[in-house]
Amino acid sequence: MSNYKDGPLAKNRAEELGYDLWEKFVIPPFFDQLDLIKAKKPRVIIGGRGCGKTMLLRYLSHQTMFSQSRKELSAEDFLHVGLYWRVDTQFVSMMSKRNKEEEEWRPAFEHMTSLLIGLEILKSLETISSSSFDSINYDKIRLINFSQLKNFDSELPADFDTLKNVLLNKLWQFESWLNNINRLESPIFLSKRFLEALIKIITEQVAVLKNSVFSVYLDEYENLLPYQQRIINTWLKHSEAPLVFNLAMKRNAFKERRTIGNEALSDIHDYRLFDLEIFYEEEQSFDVFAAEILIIRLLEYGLKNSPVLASDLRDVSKLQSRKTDAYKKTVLSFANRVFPSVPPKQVAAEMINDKVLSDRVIKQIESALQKKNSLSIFDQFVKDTPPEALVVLPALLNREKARPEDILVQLNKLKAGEDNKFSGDTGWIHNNLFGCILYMYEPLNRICPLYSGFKTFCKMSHGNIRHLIELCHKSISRADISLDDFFSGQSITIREQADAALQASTAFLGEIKTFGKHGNQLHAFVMRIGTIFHQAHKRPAQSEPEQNHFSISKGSKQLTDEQENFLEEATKWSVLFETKSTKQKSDLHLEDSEYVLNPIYAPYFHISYRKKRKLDFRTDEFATLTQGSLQEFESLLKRYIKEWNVDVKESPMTLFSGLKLF
Amino acid sequence: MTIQMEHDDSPVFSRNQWDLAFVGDHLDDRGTEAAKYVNSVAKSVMKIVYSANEFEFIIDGNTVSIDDLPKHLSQYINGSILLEATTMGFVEILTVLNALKIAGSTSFSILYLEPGGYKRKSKSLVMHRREFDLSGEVLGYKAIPGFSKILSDEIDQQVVFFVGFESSRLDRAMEDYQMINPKQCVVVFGVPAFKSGWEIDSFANNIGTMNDRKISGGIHYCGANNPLSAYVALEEIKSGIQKNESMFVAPIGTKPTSIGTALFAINNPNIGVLYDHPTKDRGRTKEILSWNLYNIEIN
Repeated sequence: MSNYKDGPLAKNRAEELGYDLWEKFVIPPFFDQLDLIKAKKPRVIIGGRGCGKTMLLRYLSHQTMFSQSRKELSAEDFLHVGLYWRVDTQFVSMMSKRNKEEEEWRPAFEHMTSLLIGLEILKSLETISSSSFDSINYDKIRLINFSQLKNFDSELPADFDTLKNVLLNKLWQFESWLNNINRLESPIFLSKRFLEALIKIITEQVAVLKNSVFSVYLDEYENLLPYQQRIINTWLKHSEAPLVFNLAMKRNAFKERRTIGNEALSDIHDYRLFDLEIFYEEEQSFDVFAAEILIIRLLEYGLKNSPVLASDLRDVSKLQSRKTDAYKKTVLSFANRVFPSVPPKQVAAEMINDKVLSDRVIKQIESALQKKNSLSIFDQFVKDTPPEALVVLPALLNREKARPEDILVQLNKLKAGEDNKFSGDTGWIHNNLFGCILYMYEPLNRICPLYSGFKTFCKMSHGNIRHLIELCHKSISRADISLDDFFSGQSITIREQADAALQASTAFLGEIKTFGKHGNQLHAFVMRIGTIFHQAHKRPAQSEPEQNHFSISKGSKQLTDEQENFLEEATKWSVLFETKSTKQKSDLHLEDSEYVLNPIYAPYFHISYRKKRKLDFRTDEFATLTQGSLQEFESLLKRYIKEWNVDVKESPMTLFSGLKLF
Repeated sequence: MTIQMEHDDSPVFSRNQWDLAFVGDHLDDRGTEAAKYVNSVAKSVMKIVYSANEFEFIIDGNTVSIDDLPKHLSQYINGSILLEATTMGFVEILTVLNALKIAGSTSFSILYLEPGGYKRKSKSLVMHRREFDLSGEVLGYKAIPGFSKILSDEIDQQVVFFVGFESSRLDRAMEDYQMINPKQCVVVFGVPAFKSGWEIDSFANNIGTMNDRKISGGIHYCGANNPLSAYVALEEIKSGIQKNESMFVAPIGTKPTSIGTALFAINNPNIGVLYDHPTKDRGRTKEILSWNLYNIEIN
């Protein structure tokens, strides 16, 4: 699609959308459960990359809440003033070691924090004064008398404009000192008491802010040093109106619970914890929310005949009406029309109409029958057989204990409309078709149509809004239609969507290298585990179809601390998702956790994105995957390939030809 | 400031003696050759290696905090100085140059051996074995005391990236510093490259990241083996910086451009340096394409 490069879905990161999100933010379905605006107890918000944490915090912050685009403001809206704060972690890391103990660095960190939050408080006054609320304007702000702040530092002026400049100068002064601690004298350090005093002055002199609570939202808490986290924990623990501290961080990142004193933080008592991804786990919730985000973005760009009003998506009072079944159906209907999917049965039908694919299916049936010396009944298998049955036949026939004559009996029952194992409870088609389609497509260097459809995009995104937007964006970019036709109702084709899925998957895989200091290791691990899953999908018998997650049984050794930490790191960055096991397969294996490879990588590895079957690794195998040499991994992979009877020579010269598998 | 540059296939330079030389760890044949040469031409050689986690140096076996480096080196800085940049890391080069400036040493030489070949990733769909190989921890972007500025939404900033083959370093910067405005990011490519055609790899590897991250502050070029041209590029960019803007430089390209950055940083104390402290690969480069000596005078 020409002229789409900078279209409404091109921006998929919160940082790209700026701080004023009033026109852009879709109130998430769980917003009322978070109770963030009126809360006086601190919140700790947890979620992976792309789940919407930063967007949510920026929505709550003064730039959005008092946006000039917000035409109706009441006095009640000023009870909460949000202050977004993301730490410059490379800078704060300088406040450690360098011949100083932690106790010496603490006041420096507190000083920097006080300056930054102080500046943000002053900025919030500017935002408030330029909002649509009549009772406050810039002249009133300028009249605030800050002279009491001299008690903290005699250089602090009394008037608003100069105070802002002085605080900024003090920040630069601090920056200079931190770079030259041996050569410059330390500045007078401010403490959190300064912030409390600043807020007290404001609330006493600005009528509309008399009862306001200033809520600091600290993003990426995990990037602070441990002693810095303890300082913040202390502030969180002792948070009370009018200054409350809230935190946001990735999963598995809330390790430091101590404070500066003897007490530790305790959940429920000191804060309320919200895991955003758990809210999304109710599947329809994410799908509908994702569709609403798609709609609001397209509306910005000129979408006609939208099924919903943008204003409703931004209005907290409309939240309940957005949860009705009728509403959800309308919204999803729109998204499914724009990004249609193709059911596996239809894919099978199209495969049989495609000469290359159809030849492959027939050849696979022939080959399986030959191995079982049953080539004589080949014609009976292929004549008048429904496509979906044809596609699963090679897998069924390749199973060790399967007798072709028995399968033929069932096939004939299917053709006669009688109860049978293909379409009946045994579910030969239901259980195997998806995996068999992937199997048939694999060596042909064609992207499989199963990676298309809005519902599929939602499954592959797994609660990651950014991934979802990127999948939609790439699909629309690749589409061979004009923007007008698109907005008039033309859909994106299956092929365009599936191609986009592969492109997005590849890009997101490459991003893993940027995931912190273990990024390279995480990336190599995903390459390894993805390769194993890919080979698992190539088993001719498909006896365990769609294997794309794993557990680790006891094996000969326990997991080491390093391996446990690696799993935590992988989960923290949403490379893996951890779920509790629901099945105990045998008495020998009692697995507590299962780890799902992020389904966004599924198109790249040509594996299923659905959570169906798992691989059970021994601890030493897991050690090879995470810490083993390349040769050790190749040996492990070769062993699996042999065990699974995979024909590696069949693969195209793409992903894995660099490995020594022969 | 003047930089007189000498290049040759072998170390035949206008001068062949120095009073004091600084070297780093030598991890491959190129580094070994450089260290051998330095030992033959310098009366005294000091090995200096930086630990980004600890903010300190190991200098001939002794630990010295980064804050104490100028004072520590002042007792040794005397006469003619040579920095062996093939083996020294960027932080070592930057901080030693800073120490020289503080000590009042205004002329010195920097040696750099250009590589004749690199492990290059194939551009085809065939996945390189390296993708499956577990490489070590990458520290990532961490402040260099003395050269760090706060990145904040309060202050507008312009960030200049010198890039090389590895797009992941640029990608990582944008991931770690999400307060950087990509519209205010400038990318400098090393053109001409060490070898003709190598610049194509740099373009191909980085353009995807630039596109994905929407980096659109402009593209500049400077010679990949020319620290003066890197310095001039930075001067040019700086001349366009607004009064209330901060300037940051990320030298994640070739070593000569890093040298140019280091020189610029010590002459412009108001700029911030962003650096990711990559782990040095053993045996990554073997052949020597040319020997370069940069003789520098700071006025």
